Amino acid sequence: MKLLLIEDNDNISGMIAQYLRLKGYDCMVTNNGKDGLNQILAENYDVALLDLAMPEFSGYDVIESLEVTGKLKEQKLIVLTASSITEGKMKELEKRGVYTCIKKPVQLNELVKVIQSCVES
Amino acid sequence: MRLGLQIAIIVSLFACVMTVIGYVLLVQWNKPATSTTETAELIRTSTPIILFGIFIFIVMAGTMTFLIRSVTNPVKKLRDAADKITRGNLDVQPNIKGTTEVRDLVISFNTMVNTLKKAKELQSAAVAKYKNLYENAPGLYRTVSVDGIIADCNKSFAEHLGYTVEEVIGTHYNKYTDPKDVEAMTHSFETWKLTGVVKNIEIWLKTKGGTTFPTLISVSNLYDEKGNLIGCNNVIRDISEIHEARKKREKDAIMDLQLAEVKKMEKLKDEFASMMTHELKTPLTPIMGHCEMLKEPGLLGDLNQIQLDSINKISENALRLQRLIGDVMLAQRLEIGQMNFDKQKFEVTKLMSEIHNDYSKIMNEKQIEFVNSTQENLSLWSDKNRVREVIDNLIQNAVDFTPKNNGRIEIGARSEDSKVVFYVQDNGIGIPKAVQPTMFKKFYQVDASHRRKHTGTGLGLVICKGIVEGLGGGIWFESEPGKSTSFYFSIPDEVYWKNRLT
Repeated sequence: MKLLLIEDNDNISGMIAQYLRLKGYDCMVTNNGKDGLNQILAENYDVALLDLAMPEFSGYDVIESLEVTGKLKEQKLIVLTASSITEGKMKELEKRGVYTCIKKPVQLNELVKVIQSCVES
Repeated sequence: MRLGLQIAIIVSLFACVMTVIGYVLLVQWNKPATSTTETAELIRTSTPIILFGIFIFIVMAGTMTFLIRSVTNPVKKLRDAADKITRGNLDVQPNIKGTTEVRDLVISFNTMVNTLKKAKELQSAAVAKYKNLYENAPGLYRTVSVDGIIADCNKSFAEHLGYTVEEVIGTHYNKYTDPKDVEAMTHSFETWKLTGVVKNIEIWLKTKGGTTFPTLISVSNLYDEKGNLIGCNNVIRDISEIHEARKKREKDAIMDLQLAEVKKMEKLKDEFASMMTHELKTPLTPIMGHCEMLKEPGLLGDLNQIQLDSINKISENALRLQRLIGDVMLAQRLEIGQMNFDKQKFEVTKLMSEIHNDYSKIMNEKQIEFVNSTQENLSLWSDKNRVREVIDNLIQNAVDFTPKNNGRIEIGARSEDSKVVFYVQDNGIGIPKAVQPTMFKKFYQVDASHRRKHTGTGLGLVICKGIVEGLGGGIWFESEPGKSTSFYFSIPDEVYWKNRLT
């Protein structure tokens, strides 16, 4: 299964990618929004994990670009957010086509469960 | 008169002589002259004629004198009147009789005198008006000669400076200048002497009592008949009020600037703190993630029990740190008003039952009697999760401060007007009176010794207050030290208010 992780903090992305690879996923990592968007547009990923708070090109920018290109409906997206996000904002993102939002710090076994249910949806 | 008399005498004499000569010539012509008898005869016959001549002379002289006087008298009177006018007395009204020409002259003369009189009256009225203005005007006036001596001043000027007019007159103008402005005043005066011009200059004056006040001085020049500058009138305006207003404005501007600076600093501080806490939290994700991986059997290789214990301790402390940072961030967001709320309708009664259930097990373990006395069918339009957060915080506080034996905690909610009042009551150690006012301040706990038992951040109540106030409510408590503490908070039902408004 092919996963894409878009996360600007290498410590976090390294840890998550390591776990997912150990769990048998094929996990690609980009550390900025622009590269992530290009990857999504160029390749087919089963699920993309997207950090919202990134400098220059944020997670919101990625979502907006996917909306414009119409790719948001095809690409399954899980958003990783800071704990300060409100329920309302999370719901709004889900309405736009994001599968779900996970608050940081991410619990790894929880993350795998969510990825699994996302793929099956 | 002398001229008139002279003319009269000459004319009279001339008339007599002509009469005598005429008569003699007439007699001589008719009778040829004889010797002595003839001479005696001539004398005899001539006597009445001479007498007649004298008589004619007297009559002529008298008539002429009268005639001449009738002309010179009015002239003399007119000259006297003119002399009086010259001496400044315009009240002369010469009543002169005479010939038509003389009367015309007198009428013209009187008209002229009347016109002069009127002009003089007008002039003295104007002078009086000016003097009155100068003396009694509320403005401060002084007249300064070119040598710098005050020749005159009005009452306002003298009184304003604490002197009498008599005291001021004859003194130097700089006697009344504030010492710090003497140089500027002297400079302006010297400039005025050269150019005759002084614009509105700001000079501080000094009173007799020593107090000083700001003024604006302008000048109108005084010239003598030849056009030489001899002095000036100073018009002085006390601008204390303007000065005060200006000073206040300047002060206000500075205050505004300082306030803006303080606000800016506060904002920077908040932003810095917000960034710092975020930065502190970020490393926790990989720490906790790696702990999780190590703990998962078989993922990174099996650990022995001692290694597993270590990982668990790291994990536990990381979690505690996460909560701590979370609390600080929350308190900051509440403080700078960046908190967002998700409001919806929820069943208060149901929420309280859930909370009661969730804590039942722990309360049992701690042997605390746990009671829920919430009203039935209570609902509210507000942020359910945040309300729960407040209740959680208050329950945790109550648990931490309730005695081991016979502890009792009661939670509940009741409807009151257009709001719901929640409460958490315990029979714990209570809050000492002295520290009650600081309860909702940052990082405050009743007793430092409890800090070991109580693992909170000291931000619990601050967060509660922030959330409750953010939802438009209020939080308060009642406490009897050693006996009990009751925390209350009210949350307005927004549906009620929305209905009221529409």
